[in-house]
Amino acid sequence: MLATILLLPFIGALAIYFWPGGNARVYKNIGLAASGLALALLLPLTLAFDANAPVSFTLAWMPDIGLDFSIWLDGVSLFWAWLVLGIGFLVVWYAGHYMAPDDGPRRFYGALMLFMGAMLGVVLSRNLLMMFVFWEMTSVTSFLLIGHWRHKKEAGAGAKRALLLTGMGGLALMAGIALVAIILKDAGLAASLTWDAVTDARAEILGHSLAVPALVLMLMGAFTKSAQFPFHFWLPGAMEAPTPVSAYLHAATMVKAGIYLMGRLYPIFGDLDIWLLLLGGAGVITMLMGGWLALFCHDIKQLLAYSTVSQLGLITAYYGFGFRGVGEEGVVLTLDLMLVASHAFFKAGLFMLCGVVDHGAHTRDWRKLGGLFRKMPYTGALTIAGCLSMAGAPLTLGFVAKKLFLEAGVRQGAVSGTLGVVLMWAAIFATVFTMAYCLRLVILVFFGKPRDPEVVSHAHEGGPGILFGPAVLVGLSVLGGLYVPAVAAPIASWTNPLFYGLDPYYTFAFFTKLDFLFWVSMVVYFVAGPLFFWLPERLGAVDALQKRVAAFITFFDKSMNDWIPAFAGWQRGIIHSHSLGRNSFVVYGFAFGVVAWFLPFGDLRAAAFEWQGAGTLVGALLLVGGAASLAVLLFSRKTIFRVLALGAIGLGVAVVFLLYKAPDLVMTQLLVELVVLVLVLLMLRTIGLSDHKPLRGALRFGAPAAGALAGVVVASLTFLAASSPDQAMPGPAKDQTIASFYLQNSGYPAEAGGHGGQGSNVVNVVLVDFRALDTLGEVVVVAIAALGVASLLRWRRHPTREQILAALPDPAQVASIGDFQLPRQSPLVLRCLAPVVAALALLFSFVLFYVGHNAPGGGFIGGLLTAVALLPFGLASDRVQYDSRFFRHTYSIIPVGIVFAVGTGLAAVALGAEFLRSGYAKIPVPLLGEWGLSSALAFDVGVYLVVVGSVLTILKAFSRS
Amino acid sequence: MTLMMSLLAGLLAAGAVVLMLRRTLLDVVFGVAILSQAVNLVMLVSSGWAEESRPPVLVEEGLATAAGTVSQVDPALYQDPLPQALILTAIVIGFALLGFLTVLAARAFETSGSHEVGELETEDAP
Repeated sequence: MLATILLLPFIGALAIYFWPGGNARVYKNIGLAASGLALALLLPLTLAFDANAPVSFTLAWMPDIGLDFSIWLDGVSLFWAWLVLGIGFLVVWYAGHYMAPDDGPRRFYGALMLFMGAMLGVVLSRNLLMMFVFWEMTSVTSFLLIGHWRHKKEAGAGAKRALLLTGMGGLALMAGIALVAIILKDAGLAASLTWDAVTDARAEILGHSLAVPALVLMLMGAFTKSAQFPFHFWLPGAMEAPTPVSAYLHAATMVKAGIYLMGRLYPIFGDLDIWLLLLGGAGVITMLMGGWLALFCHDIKQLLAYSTVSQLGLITAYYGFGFRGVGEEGVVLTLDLMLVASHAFFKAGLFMLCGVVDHGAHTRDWRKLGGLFRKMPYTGALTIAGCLSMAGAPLTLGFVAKKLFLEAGVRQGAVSGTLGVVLMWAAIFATVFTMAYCLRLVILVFFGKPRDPEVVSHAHEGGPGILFGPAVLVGLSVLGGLYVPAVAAPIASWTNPLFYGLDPYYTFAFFTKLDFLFWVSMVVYFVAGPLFFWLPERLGAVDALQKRVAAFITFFDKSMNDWIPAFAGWQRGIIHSHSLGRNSFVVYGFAFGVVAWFLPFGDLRAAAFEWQGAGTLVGALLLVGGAASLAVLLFSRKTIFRVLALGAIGLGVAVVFLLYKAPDLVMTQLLVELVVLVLVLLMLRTIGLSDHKPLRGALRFGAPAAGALAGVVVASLTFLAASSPDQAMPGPAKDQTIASFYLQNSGYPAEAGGHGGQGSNVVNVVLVDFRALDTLGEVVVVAIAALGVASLLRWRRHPTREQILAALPDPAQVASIGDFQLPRQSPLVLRCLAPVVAALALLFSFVLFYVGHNAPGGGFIGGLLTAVALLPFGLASDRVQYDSRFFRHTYSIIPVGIVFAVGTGLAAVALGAEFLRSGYAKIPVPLLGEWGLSSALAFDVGVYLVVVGSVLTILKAFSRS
Repeated sequence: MTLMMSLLAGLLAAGAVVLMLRRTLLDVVFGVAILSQAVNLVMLVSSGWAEESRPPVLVEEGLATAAGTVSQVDPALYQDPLPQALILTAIVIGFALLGFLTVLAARAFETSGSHEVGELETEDAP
């Protein structure tokens, strides 16, 4: 049920995007249906709500690191879900009347539903990481909505500003969540990053040294989202959005996400000393500034935008005043959501009314309006009612909020010393602006003489449809104050028990707590407020202030436009320059540097060197040989010597495999080395010889340094791993390891009840049975590489033949590699013997493939040998045979092999076992007795085919050049 | 043995990185080839070595005899099969990628007419 509610807005968005031939009406109805249905589903959950046992829904994803898809409906989420969906419904309704039908409706309603879903996800997420995902989603969708009117330059700039600031905040939030996860881990608690788990771990979190950084980072996220100083300035720019979006964004979503987060953080971090300073300080400054700037606005929508800034500051400061660090005397907030509800109602309503004025009078500038009440009586009356609530007139919900706020401020001022007192007086002073700008909004627009009679005389009232939403919202915000328990009782009973450990009751009364300071503040408010009404004109500084704000915004935009690309360019210059050498240097240096950082070099002393007699001597010989070959490879000027040195190293590694008792590896290595040698020679035939080019610049020193680092790291890592305590008995496999399981179960017959691998070559059984899924993946990698080669060849056909020929090196030069002359024509001996050798090799490859399950061999080795067996044809006849029908289509063997391998796995599924589970059967064969056949053999056929096809495809790549 | 092989792996890795940072196509191809050798050695050598251990191919233990009985395998007698299985596929994958790289190098040369990896950038621009 809960998951359905969360999904509904997203389903609505999908329906809108994919509805064939829809129009604005259809989209609006889809939006109404989705949000209405979600509300209808929410109702039974609300009626059956039990604060001590919230409904939740969890899908485990990565529980080990605390990452689950986990949503719940505790009291706080319940409140917010109503707010988001309820106002969302009204906003969609309003948009249906406000937006022009041809105004990109699919984009608009689609993004609006996504926005609704994202915000719903934020408030329903139980898991912090999941909340973060939805959090970022609100940033992205609000970007789309603010910039909806693409023809307006300012809309694009405002959208970008909003995205940049809230995006940065989002990153900080993520870092903060990560710190919380670290704290929980340090405290030895389970990795579960849910709100309830984190709230329960309050004591551990507050006791940890990372508590303050975690709080500050998460508050950065909340402050950017909620437009708190100094991140406030994106919000007025966001009013370039279509008005329904503004109403939604300012009232119930986006900016409220930050408030929601503060509300969640309050029970956890409310005891930290820095809490009051951070939230109280930022909140009060924001209140003052937003209120002050709102006074100077000409555009009433901008006035409302700044009033939102100011009101958000008020809610933030209210949370700050909830600071409990002083012990028992501290203030405990019980009705914080009252402030949220009150602001959401009147602000959404007022924004919508502002849109009605815009529609009716075609301007929002009060310098052209005035006396509009006669023309638009309903709009005017509703605006007055909304402003009364915003200003906090008695008997409105706004009054309740204001009283709660002032009480909290006064009580905090009384208990927490100078800081509390300063903040309290600043807050009381800041509320004065609210009264002033409310008066300005109402009086300048609706009363007095029309300043531009032309505009006002043409103004007309909005219809009942467009006024429905604002009427409901303003009505709620006024009536809610008449009977406070109707709003306060559910909020208190939903949120108190779980989060604040309080009884589900609330205390609120109009005339209790006759605190002296409180009455002082009320007097200041109602007397000084009207005085400020005239202030902007008195100061005569309206235009100057507007210009200063605009200059700052321009400066910010320009800085971002300049700095971000500059930073990106600088970064790209380091990690992705145009030089492959420099890129590689960064990649390898970083990779080996990270390993070096974590490598316990100190343990090297403890890892004893053990003299192993002949073994050590042979090892030393191999080391010397490897060093010599490497020296040739690095420093020789003769390419043929370097190719031979490459082969020598490969052979040396094969000897190491032999010493480590790995017969399968020896065979694979020898075959691969052979093919690599041919491959490199073929490549040289194409690209010819090249001069040695010394490195330039810093890489001259960087390359040897990176090499030395890699060498030290790899050698130490290997030695440490080989002689770690876990390897107390070096060499043979141990008990209780994966290896011992494989060894003990590999040959065990299935009919005896064990994991029947039915093979004595454990390596092969591991490949085709125990870890067959791995092998399947690896075979696919090989196939992809080969298909990549095939596609490169296909690409080659595009340039003209002349271009290719012109680009090719001189044939006389190509034919010789160092002192070694490639024959112009294949030797007679090779041409005559090739079929014989190939036939024998093919036969042997089949044998190796077949015995692979019980003796060294198998699909990989058999496939390699088959490809090698066919190699002489290519070498002997140069180009004739490779172009024959068989060789032309080598790459089509590859999918056949993959189908074979996957088919084996699916056959097991069809028979009711797991994917790739092997089976075993004894088939009676006449004369020979019983023939044991494992289904793993069929899988190995797939491996074999892919290897043959891939190797031939790769070799063939050079046949035509 | 372990020490010598660790040194060998380190040496090969060092050489591989130096080669991959060089400027010619051939050097880069050589470097990638050597690097996969070094990585395979790391995996194998990490599993440890003992002179008397057996290859992981079962001879009698752990297999059904004619009488149908099965004797228990003593893992301590055998070399660890898991790294071997991993390396086996790694060798083949390494080859496939090297094959792709050689063809890519040849294509790059045909397109740019240069052996130098640094000059490929000029071909990037449309």
